[in-house]
Amino acid sequence: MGTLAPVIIVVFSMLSLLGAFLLVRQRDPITAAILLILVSAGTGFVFLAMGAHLVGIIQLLVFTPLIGFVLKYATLELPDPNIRRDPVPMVRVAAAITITVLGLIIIIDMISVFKSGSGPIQYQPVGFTDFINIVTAFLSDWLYPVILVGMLATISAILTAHLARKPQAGKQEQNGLGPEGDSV
Amino acid sequence: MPAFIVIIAIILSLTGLYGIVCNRNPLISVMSLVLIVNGAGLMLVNLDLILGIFHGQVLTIIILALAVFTAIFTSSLSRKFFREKNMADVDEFQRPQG
Repeated sequence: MGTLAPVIIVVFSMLSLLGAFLLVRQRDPITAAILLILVSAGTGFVFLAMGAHLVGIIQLLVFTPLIGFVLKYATLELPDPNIRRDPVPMVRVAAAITITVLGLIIIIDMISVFKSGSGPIQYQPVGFTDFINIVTAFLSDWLYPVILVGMLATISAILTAHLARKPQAGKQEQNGLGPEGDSV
Repeated sequence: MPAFIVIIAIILSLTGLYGIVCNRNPLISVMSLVLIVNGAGLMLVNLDLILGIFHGQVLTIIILALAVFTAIFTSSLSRKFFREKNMADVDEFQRPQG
C-alpha cells in the first residue's frame, strides 16, 4: 500500500457510509439511485486503494454505471409512489434497534479478535500475477459458478424483457386505465 | 487498516439490512440489498488481502454480478406494479385471492 492509500481508504469509506445512511432514509427513488452510485463508486475506490485492483476496476467501470443506469431507468416515468406517510410501525423501530445493538457487539468482538493476535495485521504484497490468478481461477476452479451466473443472467434478461412490455389495450381497460395508461 | 475496513463493511451491511426492513418502497429495498452486497464484498476482499489469496476477490465479482441481475429483475417487477396498480408500497402487496 502506498502512503496515500490509508487516506484514500478513510475518505472514500466515509463517503460511502454517508451515502448509505442518506439512502436508507430517502423517500425519492431518483435521489436514492444517485446516492447508490456514490456508495458503489466509493467502495470501488476503497478496493483500488487496498490493492484489489481487478475488483476495484470492475466495480468502478462495470458495476457502478450498470446499477446506476438500471435504477435510473426504473425510476423514470413513475407516477407518485402513493406510499403511506404514517409513522413506521414499532416492530420496524425494534428491528432497527436490534440491528444496531448486534452490530455494535460484532464490531467490538472483531476489534478484540484483531487486537489479540501477535503484532499488527498487514496486507500481503499484491502483484500483477494476482490478475492472472484471478482470471485463471474464473476459467478453472470457479468455472461452474460462472456458468451458473451466465445462465441466471440470461434468465433475468428474458424475464425483464417480458415484464417491460406494456400491457395490451384490452387489458388496460380491464384495469380501469385508458389507452395511454391514464385512469378512465 | 484491516480492522477499519471490517468495521466499515459491518456498518455498511447493517445499514443495508435496516434499509430492507424499514422501507416501504421496493426500489429502495433493492438498493439496500446492493449495500449489503458491497459490505460483504469489502469483507471478502479484506480477508483475501490479509491471507494473500484471491478466491475472495473472485467470489466478490460473482456476487456483484448476481446483485446486478437481482436489481434488474426486481426493478422491472416494481415498474410493472407501478404501471398496473399505481402502487409502490410493499406493505400493500397481498397474496392473490382464490
